[in-house]
Amino acid sequence: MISAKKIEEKIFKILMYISFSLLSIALVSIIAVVFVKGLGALSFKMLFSVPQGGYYLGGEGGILNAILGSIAIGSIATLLSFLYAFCIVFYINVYRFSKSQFSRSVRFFLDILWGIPSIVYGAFGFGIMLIFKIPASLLAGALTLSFVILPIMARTMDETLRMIPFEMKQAAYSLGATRFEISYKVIIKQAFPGLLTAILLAFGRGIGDAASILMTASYTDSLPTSLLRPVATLPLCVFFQLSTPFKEVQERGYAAAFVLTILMLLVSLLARLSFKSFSKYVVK
Amino acid sequence: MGAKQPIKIENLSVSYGNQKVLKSINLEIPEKGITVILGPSGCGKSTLLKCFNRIIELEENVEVEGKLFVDGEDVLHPKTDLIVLRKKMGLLLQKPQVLPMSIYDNVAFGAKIHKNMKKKEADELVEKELRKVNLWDEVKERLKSPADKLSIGQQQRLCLARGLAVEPEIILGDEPTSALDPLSAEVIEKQFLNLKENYTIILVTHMLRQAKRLADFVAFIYLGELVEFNSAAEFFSNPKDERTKRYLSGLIAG
Amino acid sequence: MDELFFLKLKKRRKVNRFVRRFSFLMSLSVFCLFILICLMLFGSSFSLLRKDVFGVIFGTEWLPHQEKFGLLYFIWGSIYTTLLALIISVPISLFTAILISEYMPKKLAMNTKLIFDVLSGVSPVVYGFWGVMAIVPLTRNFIQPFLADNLHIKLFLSDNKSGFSVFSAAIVLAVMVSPLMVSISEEVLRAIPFEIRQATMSLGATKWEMVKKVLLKKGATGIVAAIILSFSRTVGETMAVLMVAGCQMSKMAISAFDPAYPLPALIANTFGETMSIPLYKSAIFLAAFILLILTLASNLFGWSILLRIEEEKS
Repeated sequence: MISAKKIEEKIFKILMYISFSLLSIALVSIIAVVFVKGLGALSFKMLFSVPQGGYYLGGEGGILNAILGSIAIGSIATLLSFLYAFCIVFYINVYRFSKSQFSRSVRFFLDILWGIPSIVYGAFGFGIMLIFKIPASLLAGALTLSFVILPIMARTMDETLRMIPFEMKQAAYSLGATRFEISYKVIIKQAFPGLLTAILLAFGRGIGDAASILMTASYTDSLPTSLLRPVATLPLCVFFQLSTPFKEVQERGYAAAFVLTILMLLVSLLARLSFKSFSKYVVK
Repeated sequence: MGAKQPIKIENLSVSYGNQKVLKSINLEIPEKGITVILGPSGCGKSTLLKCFNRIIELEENVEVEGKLFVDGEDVLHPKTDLIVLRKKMGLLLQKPQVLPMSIYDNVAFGAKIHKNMKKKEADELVEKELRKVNLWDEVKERLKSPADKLSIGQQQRLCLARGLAVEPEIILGDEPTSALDPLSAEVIEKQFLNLKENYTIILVTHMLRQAKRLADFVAFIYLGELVEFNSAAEFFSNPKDERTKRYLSGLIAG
Repeated sequence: MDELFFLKLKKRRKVNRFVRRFSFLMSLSVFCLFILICLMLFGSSFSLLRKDVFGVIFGTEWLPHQEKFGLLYFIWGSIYTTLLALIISVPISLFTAILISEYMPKKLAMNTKLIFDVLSGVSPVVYGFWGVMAIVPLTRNFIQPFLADNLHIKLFLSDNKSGFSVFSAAIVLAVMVSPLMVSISEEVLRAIPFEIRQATMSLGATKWEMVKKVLLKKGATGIVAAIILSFSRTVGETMAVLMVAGCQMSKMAISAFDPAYPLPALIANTFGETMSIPLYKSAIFLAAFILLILTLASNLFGWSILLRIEEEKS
């Protein structure tokens, strides 16, 4: 009897280890493939030049347009969604009770927005652009993208604000501060590391997203110089270059995948570090 | 400041949800001097204190009824200007709660939001207030360092200085020494004795001996009711209510 | 309190009132944004819906130039890839979650979760890249021939020898969604009180028996919620699927090695061509609307289960 139990446990333990290994191998092999393919395709010229003539047939050029484009669209979208989320989160935590009906419904709808696939945001943005006859551009893409990353930004900031000690608010209010003064003179300082984490998480998600900007930001071979022109991005660079039959062109896709992955891992790790140097005044 | 009327509380009741914490309190707190609100833990005395500057409204599901007059005006009236009201009162919490900024900014914060100040004015104010609480010599070399780095006792004195910088008329203390070491507690108590000439101080405590050391007047609250209010001398030597007698002789826990 | 104080107070009030009103409107706009998305997509697809709802949703012919917009094969493509991905991912994620929550030391478990978390943040396009570079060749050269040669069932027989198929897409999606599923199931298992585990363990059961008889039974609803939420995440995934699923509109995918053309890929691929034909545009917005409804419904369902578990606890 006992030995049968033991054998059963052994079998299932082995299954667990196999599952865990499979998943780990798969996840690690993603990074491995990106590194092996990407490092081979990397060169100074690749990183620091823009596509030249005959690019898609194997002509000269690199992916600088996509690198700068991704950073531009990611930063603008992050800034927009930060400002948006900032108002929301301070309103539902400072101007209203965190647990009030209103605040909870806002959170609920943020969660709903979080669940909407980014391609749907893309279609939404594209639809709005069709109605108002706006052409695909950096600005349109950044706006659409800012909606995609709004929930992750707002919910992360919200968690931070809910951690502010109640006594700290009491102390500040009892000095006669208005809610606005408490928000921007006290709570911001206490929540600063958390706000930074939210910004980085949202930025990381933003530069990785392609489905929402495919239709709204389009693609271009030139550097991002105007808000009203299309912009190149790393994910779309990977997508477009990979679908060509020419080896030289595909190499650019490899390089773009590599740069994109490095960027996202960096941002993701940064977001999870505790910001010691920025949290000088934070009260523990 | 002119002639002031005493603080008057009429039929003040507070409930959290269905639970009544304070049951129609009637009380008149004299101007200047230290009035101690005494009572065992959980009797509602902190709640009473938080009604004075309506900090209580920051909590959810609280219902406050009755009237509370400060300077002849009903504080609990919905039209009361909360900023003016709160500026009039400095609050010291049980656990010192410094703000996430430097020592200097902690003191200057309250004053600066109410009044535009030149740097020199602010410097002078910070020094003056920190001297009042005997903290200046300890921190004058590191005014720009985070307030969080101070010891708990120093933090509580900083909180007092922060409150005084706003130029209040009334100081509210919610067991302000209970989280402190005995030495820091003594320093804070001394500050109160110094300040009582110029301020009305309302102090919540459950420590009988502290009440004896500091009080000019004592209000004894038990299970949400005001049991007895009297001058300290009278209260301790000649208690009237049976419950007060039992509390003073240590028969009521807390 | 002098005149200057009141003068400043007036200004402070004004600023505060402005900020309050402004941020109230911003908060309110969260609802509006959601409603706007729904209305926009519904409105844009309305002209097609009005014409022929069933013909579109259950139609199989996709000939935009003849104004035939049957979405059934695309919907089927979405469901097929998603379900296959979940079939692959559920056991692996569940076993991994049990391993992490019950057998691993706490610190190691935390670090493992952190690494999963970081890796799951990698761009969908990079997952697609990995799919094209690793999974598609693996499918084409090894898995498909092996299964086709050894198991002669319809599920594994296909004319499509490219490797870009339902199967490849499902593998990539399974890997993408597993960290999410592991993390929800792990939380569900961890939340089961210590006393319940202890009671069983003290009866002389092995740890696995405890897991089987107590944890999986107690945690079953939570795990179901995890699966539903994972479904929602998977069904909307676009780029990775677009890159590896084949996306050819030849016939209905039956074999796992047939190419599939899921809804998100359809939207991403065809938006450029839609400008000229009004109904074509409607069809694409309808696809997005269907996707919205699918994800919304499954999210609400999943959350309501998790919510009920939380309420039962308290």
